[in-house]
Amino acid sequence: MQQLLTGFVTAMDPINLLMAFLGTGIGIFFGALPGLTSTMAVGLLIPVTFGFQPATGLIFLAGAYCGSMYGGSISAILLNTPGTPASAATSYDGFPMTNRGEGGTALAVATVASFIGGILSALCLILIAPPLARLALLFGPGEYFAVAIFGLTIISAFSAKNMVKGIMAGLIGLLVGTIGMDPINGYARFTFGQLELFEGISIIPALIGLFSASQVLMMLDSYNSADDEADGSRVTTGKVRVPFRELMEMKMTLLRSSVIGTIIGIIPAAGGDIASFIGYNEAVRFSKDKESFGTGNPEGVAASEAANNGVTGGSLIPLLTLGIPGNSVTAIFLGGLMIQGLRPGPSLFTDQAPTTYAFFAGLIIANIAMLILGLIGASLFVRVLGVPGALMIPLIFSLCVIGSYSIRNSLFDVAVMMAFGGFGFFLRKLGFSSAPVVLGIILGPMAESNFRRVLQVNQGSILPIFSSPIVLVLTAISLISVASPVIMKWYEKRRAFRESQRRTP
Amino acid sequence: MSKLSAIRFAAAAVIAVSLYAFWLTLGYPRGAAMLPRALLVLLTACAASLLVRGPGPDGVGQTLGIQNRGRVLMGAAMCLGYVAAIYAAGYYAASALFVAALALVLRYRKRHFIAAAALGYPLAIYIVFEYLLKIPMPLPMWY
Repeated sequence: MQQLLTGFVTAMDPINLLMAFLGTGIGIFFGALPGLTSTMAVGLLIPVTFGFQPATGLIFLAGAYCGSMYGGSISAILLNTPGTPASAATSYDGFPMTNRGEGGTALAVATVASFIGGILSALCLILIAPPLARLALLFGPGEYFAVAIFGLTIISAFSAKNMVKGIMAGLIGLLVGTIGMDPINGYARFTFGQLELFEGISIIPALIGLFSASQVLMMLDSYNSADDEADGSRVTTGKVRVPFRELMEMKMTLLRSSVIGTIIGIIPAAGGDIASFIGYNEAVRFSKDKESFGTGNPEGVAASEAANNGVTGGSLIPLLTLGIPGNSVTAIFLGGLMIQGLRPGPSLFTDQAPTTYAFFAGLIIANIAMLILGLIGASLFVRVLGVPGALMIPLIFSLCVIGSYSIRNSLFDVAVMMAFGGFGFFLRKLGFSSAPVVLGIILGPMAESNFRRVLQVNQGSILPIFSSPIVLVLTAISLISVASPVIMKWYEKRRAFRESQRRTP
Repeated sequence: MSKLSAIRFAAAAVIAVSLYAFWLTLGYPRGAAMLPRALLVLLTACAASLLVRGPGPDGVGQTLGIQNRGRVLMGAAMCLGYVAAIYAAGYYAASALFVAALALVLRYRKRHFIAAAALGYPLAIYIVFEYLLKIPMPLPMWY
């Protein structure tokens, strides 16, 4: 508690407050623009944090994460085009409200719901992460190997549509992770004599390439100059009014969706999009007025938005405690931590506790900033929708160049970013997901180094690690993780069936 | 061409690269080669499975699905040219040129917006990165 209070004192420093608001504002900007995601927002802002104190940088990134999650709702509500996949369910009721002239009210509901979801999940992070990190103190190479394997089994969740493609993407990521000196003997692998490759592929340029530069190529492919000629800035919100009475009536929905979002966030691979659909579905299930959903019921907007912002705090729990990035945003966030010299695990809550607790406090402040900016600046953020794609495309690519260059002031990293951008573009066009590649790159070295340490300690045998209860539990969770796509498929089928029944008059 | 779908072509390319990478690992010590070799064998097996099965029932992978190949190639070439221009002319000049050129290539007509973005963006980057954060941007090679 003392550490948290100290964290709040640090986070309330004027520069940190300013960065929380600035990060949140930029995040909302990114989230509101269809095609730009939370991953891109956090990834492209990492270089800005180089010159910051660690706490300031992390608070800035926390603002960007929360803001971009919420920002997607603006275009979902006003244009029926979700700014991020996590806001798809918001458009079901948000857009009909806009058509009725209640766009401002829908935005206010989305803002308040996002705030509640974000705050509750941040509180869960504060409560759950420290004890879980203390448990990680008991970990040796065997346990860390099991953690890495658990992280890698998440690949199966990304591969529900095509298991072979998912596994292939994961294997490619693992192979990329082997580039550089081998972790035990220091033998150079796949370096082709390039000194820059001896330390391995730099993670941030690779991630910026996979997620942002590839998106530039996708935008070039789908660009339509007629869209730029149509003036998007003419979209208006109407009066932004917070319907306090209606919000009070839907308090159980807000609470339920926030909890759903937080739990989904903790589960690796299940991100904001799944959380918002489940939150929305549960709101429909519990509602006495099921028929009103899909026709402009503010409760639908609240359910979806509380759930997708609930993911923010939850998804940081496995990242900060065990070093497992559960989704692409937290994978990028891991890069942000490492750049500030922070390593996920118990040390974050001991040696680095002041920074970590300032970050936790910053997450709460970022949610408050989101509430203020969302309510006051909604009409301003709407103008973002008028930014022409012909200008956004070169600007985003230029930011990709800065993002990859400024890590080591190296044009080699820019080349890495571009190579991964092209690779990511073809992956997406061929129906592969980029997320398993990222998991492979991050978790591969962790799995390999710990596996080989286990073999060294146990004279070439892996079996002794199964005497550890932690390894047994992690192995069981890994098996569940492999089975989860089947369970999710079953849930999706059930949801689609119910949806079709609900929409049939 | 219809039989050689994009996904089959990609699978064949993966197999070729995997075999080359496996050949490279033959010169590595046993410990260092263990993981890469295992991964390459698995990757080759997965790629072979894709090669045999071809595109899925949803048709994804039949073609690359690029709607406007010319624009993507032109854009990619301009991105490459931009990085080369950074090396030659420095970040700021290259960025102003790149923003204006790509917007014009995409046939955006509002010239005053293009001019504002081309001049305003490098200025904003200078203020944020060089002035406030003290992070230097690439300078021209002749500087």
